[in-house]
Amino acid sequence: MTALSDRLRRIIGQPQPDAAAPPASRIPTAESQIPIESQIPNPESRPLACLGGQWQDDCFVVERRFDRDAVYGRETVGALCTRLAAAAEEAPLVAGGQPARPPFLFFDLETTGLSGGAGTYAFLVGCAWFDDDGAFVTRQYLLTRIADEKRLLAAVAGELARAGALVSFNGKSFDAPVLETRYLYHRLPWAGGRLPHVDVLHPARRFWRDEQEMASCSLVSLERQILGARRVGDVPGFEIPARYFQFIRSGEARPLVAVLEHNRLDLLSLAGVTARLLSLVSRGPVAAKDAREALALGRVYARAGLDARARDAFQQAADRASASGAIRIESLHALALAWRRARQHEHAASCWRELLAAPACPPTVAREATDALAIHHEHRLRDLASAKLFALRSLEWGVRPASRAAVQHRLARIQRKMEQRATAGAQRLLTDALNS
Amino acid sequence: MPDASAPQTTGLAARSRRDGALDAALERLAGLERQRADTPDHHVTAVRRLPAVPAQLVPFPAVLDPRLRRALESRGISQLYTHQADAIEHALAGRHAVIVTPTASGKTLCYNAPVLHTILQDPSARALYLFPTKALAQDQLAELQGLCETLSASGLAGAGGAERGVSPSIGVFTYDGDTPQDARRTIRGRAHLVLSNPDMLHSGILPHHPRWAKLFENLRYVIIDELHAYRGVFGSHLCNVLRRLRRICRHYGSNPVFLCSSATIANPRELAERLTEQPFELVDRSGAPRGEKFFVFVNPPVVNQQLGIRRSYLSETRRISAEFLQRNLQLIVFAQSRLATEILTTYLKDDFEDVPGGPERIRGYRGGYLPNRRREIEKGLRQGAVRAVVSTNALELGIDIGALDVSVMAGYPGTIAATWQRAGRAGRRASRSAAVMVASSAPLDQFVVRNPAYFFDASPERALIDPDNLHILVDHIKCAAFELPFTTSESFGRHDLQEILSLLAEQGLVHCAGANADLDAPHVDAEWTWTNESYPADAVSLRSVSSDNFVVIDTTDETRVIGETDFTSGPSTLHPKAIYIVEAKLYQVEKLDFEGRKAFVRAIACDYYTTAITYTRVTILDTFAESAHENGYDAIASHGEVHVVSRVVGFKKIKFYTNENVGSGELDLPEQQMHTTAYWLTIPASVMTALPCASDDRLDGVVGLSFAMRQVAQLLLMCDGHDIGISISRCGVRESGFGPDAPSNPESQLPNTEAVQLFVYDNYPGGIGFSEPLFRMHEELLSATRRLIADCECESGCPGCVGPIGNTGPFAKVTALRILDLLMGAPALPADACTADAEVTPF
Repeated sequence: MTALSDRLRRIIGQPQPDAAAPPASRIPTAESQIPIESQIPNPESRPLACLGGQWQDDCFVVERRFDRDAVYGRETVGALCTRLAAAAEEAPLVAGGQPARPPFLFFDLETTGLSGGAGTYAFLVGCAWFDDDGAFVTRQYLLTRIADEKRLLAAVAGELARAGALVSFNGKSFDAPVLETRYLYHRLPWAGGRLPHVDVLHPARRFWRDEQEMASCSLVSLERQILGARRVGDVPGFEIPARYFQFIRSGEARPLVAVLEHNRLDLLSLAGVTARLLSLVSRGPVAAKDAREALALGRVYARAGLDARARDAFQQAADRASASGAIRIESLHALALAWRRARQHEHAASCWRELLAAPACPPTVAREATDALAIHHEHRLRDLASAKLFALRSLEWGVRPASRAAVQHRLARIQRKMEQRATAGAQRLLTDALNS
Repeated sequence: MPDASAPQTTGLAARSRRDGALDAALERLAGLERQRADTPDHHVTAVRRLPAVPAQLVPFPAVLDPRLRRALESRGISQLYTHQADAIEHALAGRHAVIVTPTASGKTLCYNAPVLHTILQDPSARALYLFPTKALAQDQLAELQGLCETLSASGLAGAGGAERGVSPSIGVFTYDGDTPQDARRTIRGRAHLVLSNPDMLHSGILPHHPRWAKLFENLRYVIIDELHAYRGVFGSHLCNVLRRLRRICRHYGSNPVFLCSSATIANPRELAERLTEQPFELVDRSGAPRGEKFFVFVNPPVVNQQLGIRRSYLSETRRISAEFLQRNLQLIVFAQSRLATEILTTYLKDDFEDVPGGPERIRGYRGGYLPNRRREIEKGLRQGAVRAVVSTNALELGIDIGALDVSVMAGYPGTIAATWQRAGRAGRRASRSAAVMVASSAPLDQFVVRNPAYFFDASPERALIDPDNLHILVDHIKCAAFELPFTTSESFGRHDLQEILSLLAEQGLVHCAGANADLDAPHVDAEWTWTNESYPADAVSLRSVSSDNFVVIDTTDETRVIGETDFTSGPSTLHPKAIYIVEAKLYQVEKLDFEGRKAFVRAIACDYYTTAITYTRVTILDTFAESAHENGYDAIASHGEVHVVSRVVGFKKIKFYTNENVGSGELDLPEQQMHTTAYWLTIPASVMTALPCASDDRLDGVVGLSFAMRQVAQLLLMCDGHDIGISISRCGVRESGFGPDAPSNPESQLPNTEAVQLFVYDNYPGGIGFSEPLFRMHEELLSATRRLIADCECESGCPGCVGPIGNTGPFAKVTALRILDLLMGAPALPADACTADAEVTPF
């Protein structure tokens, strides 16, 4: 040992007996004590057989097929495929208006970290699609050596080139930027920027996040709830990078078997949730299983500018929701705003009145309602007495000083108008009396 | 902007009126009528006149883009100062240059001109500006955007022939922690000029370099403003950040020219070359005009000769500021602390602002004020509505506040370079200005004020960095490995990179792929790749020892965080019962949660502050070099690696203003340990035994010597007080020692025959490069220390030399002098002869 390494050890720390796998205890494999640097065979000779893949153009690719008859949760793969195909034209509604069209390429990365930046690698790029027979095909590109990354990215670019749209779960904020960084790193063009991208995380959250059970709205909880699928022996996400680092150091591929399986199931669940989502969007609120789904549909339509469909969905959601629930409040509120956008002020006013009558109406919404009704009565109905009553009700809710000032300003104006009207009335009476 | 041709807006009459007012004020301060009651003897220790210097102008270089020339002309710049022309020439020829010229000499044009010229010639070119603070970047943003607007306007209006159609729309953006997330992508794509800071480059840009590919591919210039700010730990970090930057530039095939600007330090070229590891051209002959300037040193009079107590330097500053303010001169007052800033602001407001709510003619300025308030004060200064500003060093750097008449420094700023920098805040091109330094009773101040030649004639301090400090280097190697894999033939810094990487591999942080068994695939170069989930830059803070810190939580009313302190100074400033001061409000620490890194404080009204008593024990691990003279009495100077253990064992309560010791307490806090580098002085047993006094007095002498030596070391090293530590130990038995704040320790009586070692260590794990230079300056250190003690007017020790008399014994001063004489090879002389001798000792 040199003097330098002596001093370095004081700073860096003593060697870890099993640095090859930092959280080694969490990874139960027979060969967890592989000596460091003991075997780094060339890619072809690495014992990758357990992964069941093959070399294609210098890339290690694992391809799997889920037949159309295979059962996933409550449905068959073929049924999911049919559902998706029937609803494919609605995809732009959940792609932020981008012209998303089939073929859909489902994609999901496994990465060496969550922070992004040049040192975060996408070591597994999972791609998947439904083929013409209704089977679900996954093709996973595994980075067997970091030095091979450029070839892997070039191969993945070929997959992207065939797609009409990308479909991911949280891919807009994570997977796509990470992959984009990898392409930029290697000075390769990033096709993902031009492709329409359906990120089902956000709509899924609106449709299915259940406050109690699914605080995180993870894909695993969605697949259980929506698809009725269950995983056995799934590898937890936090373990995945360590398993890959262990593979990189030792060449031992077995810990990756579960990672690849995890990725495949993620892809399949992504496809299933997407099929459910688009199918709902296509069939409309009648197909919604509850008020929450109907409300979420309304939001999807409203965002896409389909106002009539949105109002219909909101109305159905309000009708189906329990009278005291938050969903009803939310639906009526959304409906009131939708009517207002459509300049159907009478309809909007009746929604606001319903909101005020609802038992669970929170103060913020109630104040919005009284404000809106005060405006409606003052300016459109010219019913100053009612306008004043609503304005006074606005003050009942504990309001912030700024909005209180606005309300008081309105009250003063109504008061002035009422006085003017009274004066004008008196004058008219007087004139009438004089004239007669 | 240099504005050589523009007339002074105030006109000749106003100028001479101001000159007259300044003369009158200076006459009262430093005048020859020594008998006047308010100017006691030796009150003013130096008055220097720096003559006016005319501008040296040259025409624009012929190669300069005509559009840029027109834009400059439309802003009133028709010629260049010589140093600007030199800098532009170097830059355009692709030579790295460091520009050292005084404040307000138009240094920004030195780098803006070549940058804009290059972008006009090649719109794909990019430049990166690094400023030590966000505020400076904001300040420059406004100026650069203004220039670019003029450029696009004149480019469109005046373009003819070949130039038509080239609409120079040059994007200038700041990119720092305040930049909104959604704006970042746009900036990455559109910015020609990115104004940022080293911290952002380190944690926000380099790790994401693929997204900045356009910048790095086309990076032609890297501008480092205020280069002198990058010394010590910060500079050592920056050097490594620049190593990473250049590595990434190589990856993208660019090789930027570095243009740096620096205040006056002894070694600007060396600092630039060490920071960037590139050869540099030095541009240090300013062609800017300068008005006549007077520099005055003031030492407040002694009010108690025996205790060596002087009149408060703050009161003295107030009196002097008043002389200038009465004559309607605009001034800036620099204070040494936030507290002193507030006190002086209050004094001057009392004196010069008539009614509350009227125009605010006197303002305070310091870190902690909100940006809007700062901008308002800066504007008030530029427009003249604000007549005086009292500031911490916050206004020392290049924030644009216009040129003022007078700069008054309450206390010596600590370094020659900072003093010139602050003095430079006053100075108009065509009229007189003045700088006044009022010394406090601190030893450093007393040394400088009594030895004006040290300041005026010696070269300023050297800025030192140690980029190969292993702690710092290893941190940046991790960051660099994250950014780009290392090849097996690459190097990074002075140490063996491959060995460091092997050790990092043992920790699972990196992995060398294709290293050994990959014989079948020889086409793949072996590379070290980052194999960890973490984002290493997040764990590295460029400005402090570690990113670990203590937070200060105020529990007076509602619980809120009011401050933070870095880990190493936590125990000494946040121990239980410590007084913690923030924005002139006093808090007492009620509880220190050491494990949780939290200190709970409560507001308190009291008239004292606290200083910690720290016991420090130093053990030598490795001696790098040793020097000794033939003379048997001589000191042995050494430097090397040491192990430092320190523990806060108690504290003292010190009364404000009088600095009386009004109480103390004991503490039981965990030890802190570090390996660092140190310079040490061995006082041989022969010297100790040759002292004609009792062992207690010998001890006092060593303690007094260490007190003074610490100050001088700080002076020579151009470092902050907390950058170094001092400790004394007996040879062979090193269990006890003395902290810098605890110069007396009754338990460690020095036996007659033992040698004593006096350590000055780098207060940073791994050392920061002070020890070796201090070792080389050994003789200077001893002679200057001797001079500090010998020249002091006190009888037997005071805060200005060997420490306050209450802390050291009555013979500390004479014994310390005797030790120094013996060490320096002088024959043992009576004490009074020593004093006489000191006056002719060349320094």
